[in-house]
Amino acid sequence: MDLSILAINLVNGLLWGIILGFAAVGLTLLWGVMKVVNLAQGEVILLGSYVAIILFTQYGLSPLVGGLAALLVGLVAGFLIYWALLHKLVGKVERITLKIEMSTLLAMFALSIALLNFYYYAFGSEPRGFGLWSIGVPYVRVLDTTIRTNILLADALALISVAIVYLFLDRTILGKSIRAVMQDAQAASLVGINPVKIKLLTTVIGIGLTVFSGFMVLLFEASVTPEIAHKYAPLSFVVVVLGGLGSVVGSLVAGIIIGLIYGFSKVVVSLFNPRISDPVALSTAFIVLILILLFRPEGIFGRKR
Amino acid sequence: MRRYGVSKYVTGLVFLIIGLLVGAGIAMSSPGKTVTKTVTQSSVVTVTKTITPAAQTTTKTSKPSGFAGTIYIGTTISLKGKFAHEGEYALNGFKVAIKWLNDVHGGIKVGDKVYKVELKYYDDESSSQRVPELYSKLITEDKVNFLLAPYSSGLTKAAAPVAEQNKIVMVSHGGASDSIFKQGYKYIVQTLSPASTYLRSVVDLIAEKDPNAKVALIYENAAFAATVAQGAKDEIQKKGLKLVYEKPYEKGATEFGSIINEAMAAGADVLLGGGHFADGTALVQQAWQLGWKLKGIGIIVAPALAEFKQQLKDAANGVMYPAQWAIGVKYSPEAAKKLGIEWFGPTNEEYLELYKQVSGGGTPDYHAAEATAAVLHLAKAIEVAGSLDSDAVRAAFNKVDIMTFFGRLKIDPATGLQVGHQMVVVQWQSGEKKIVYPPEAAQASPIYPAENWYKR
Repeated sequence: MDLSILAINLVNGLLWGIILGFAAVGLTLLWGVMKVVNLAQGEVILLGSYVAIILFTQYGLSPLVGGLAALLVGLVAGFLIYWALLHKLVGKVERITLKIEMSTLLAMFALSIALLNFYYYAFGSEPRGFGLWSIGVPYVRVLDTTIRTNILLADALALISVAIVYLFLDRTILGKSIRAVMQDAQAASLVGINPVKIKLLTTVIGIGLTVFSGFMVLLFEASVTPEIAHKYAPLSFVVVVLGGLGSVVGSLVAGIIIGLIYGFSKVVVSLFNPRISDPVALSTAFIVLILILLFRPEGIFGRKR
Repeated sequence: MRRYGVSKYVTGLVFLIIGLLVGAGIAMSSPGKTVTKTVTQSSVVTVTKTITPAAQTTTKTSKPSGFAGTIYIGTTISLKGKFAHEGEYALNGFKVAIKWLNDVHGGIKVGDKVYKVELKYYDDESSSQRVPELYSKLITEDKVNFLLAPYSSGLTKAAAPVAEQNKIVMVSHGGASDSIFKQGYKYIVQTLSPASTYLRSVVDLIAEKDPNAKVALIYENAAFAATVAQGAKDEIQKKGLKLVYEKPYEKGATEFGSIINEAMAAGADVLLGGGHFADGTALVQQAWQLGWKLKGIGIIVAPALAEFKQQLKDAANGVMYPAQWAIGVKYSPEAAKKLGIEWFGPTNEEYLELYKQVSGGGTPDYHAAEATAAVLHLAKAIEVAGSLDSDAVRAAFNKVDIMTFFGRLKIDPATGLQVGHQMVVVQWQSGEKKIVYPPEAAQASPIYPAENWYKR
């Protein structure tokens, strides 16, 4: 095996894995805290990509402004999704039953279809992106691998965001309240935590982060089509299950693991048949999912209950 | 405890739904049987309606004065559906050829008689289900003498068995796939260059300029692009260039970081490949952004579109792509004389003028040129055969070696595959497309190495 080829693919896998892990942070929060399975994950990610693209192509604004706008739009979208969909379904209820979980799941599924069709209508199936824009120099060389600086920017933003979310959940009263609701919603309300407020906050943060991650996905992929939703949504679920429901750090670590497994298996499969290396490498991620569900269903960082 | 059990089921259900979605996606990408059936049924009605008057007008105009008779050429054209755009160009292309043959050439000479040419066509709606039935109709009811294939390899494959069974010569103008000509068909003849030769001219150009070029072949993992890549590989070996890296990538690929890095590590200084517009553009864009020092870049499909230049700006300069034909090609009667072969049909200037008249002020693209060339190719074979018999004309095709505005036309006698026509190489130079190869078609000389890519 050529070591430089391995290094190239592991570095790229790592860079992608960080994005993948961050993209799943919002999903893991919504799922962990509110038992809301966001089937619109991929489409919500794309919302951030398209916000940045519109501001760049239509209004000539810097992609950095677009990234900030994606975060803001995401927070507003989280607010709207909560009040339009989730409040009635899970916000008001005390105990989340299977029936409620199913209702939210279907509601999010409906949202995904609506958003996807909207994207096709508004942006078509042509790829869109920032063209040749890059932050400073277009590329740098690290470990014999040339990397687009846009990808480094995306990874840096993702890592900083994960750190901030982690510190927020770990150190602030609000964050601790979110974790309390995640562990036991009834007990949390007994000690005076307003569950509606926490659920609203979780949705705003969860959706906000997911939309913001769309900006990173765009920086990484260089261009997006509505199809990208179908690549990132299933992988986000793998990451959440692997990392453990509700675990922000788990999500990041799981993303990196998936990225590295992807890079590694691509190199190994290429030795035998380069023609099938990409699809086989991608399916290894899902084999990991099956193994996790069978042998450690709570994930790496999840709590056993 | 109980809560956990419930979430496990939910998790399972989530993946079930994801599975269903993926399944639905797959089902949607392959043609659904129920859907096509209804489409076919409803379209039968519309087509029969449009057909009748057309067939009537053609029968009325037979035996015009001054001509010994009329040669009927049958075809289907995609006027609706996904090939509607190409279909319109093809139809105009046919009309130009027929106008030239009847008005300028004075009809097709068959022995000592002169025949008028007429086209009979139906709308196949870009549907491979419609094609066999319409070709049967052309043969049995309209009694056409010869056939032109529909547009695209897929529809040509659908029409070929009908032509073959009825032993009628069919000329392909828009079916580039090599596999059509590997089925053992005897009556199918190709006018355009097959897919396997798409990058051949680019490789030839590079071999002339730089015998030490180290090539990376990066292409979409799909039938067409893979055939193109295989053809390029054969030519690279034949010309003694080094193929240092080869990698197919998945359909819809957007991120090429690993692949480009691997190719750079292999020391490649020429990039060949591509697939469709999106991936081809992304590949070139990221090669540029990653600072890959390339002497030559040859990509199929994507660079031919104006959007390529809009998206890539300066990075587009130096990029080459193969084309069946482009406005500005310099094929001429003089060039034919140099090669010692006969010239047939209008010159490129005359062609543009005729096209303008036929289309009401339009300009042709390569789809139109292919279509015109196919009719000229057939007409020449009929004249050489001196007969309207399909077997005689098919045999005459083997003798035809001519130059037209579209380039040289000559087939492989055994398979009918086009071997005389060469793809022209177009290069983006200072924001404009210039035909740079082969020399007999070129408008400008190729820029190699591409300085903006190599010296940066």
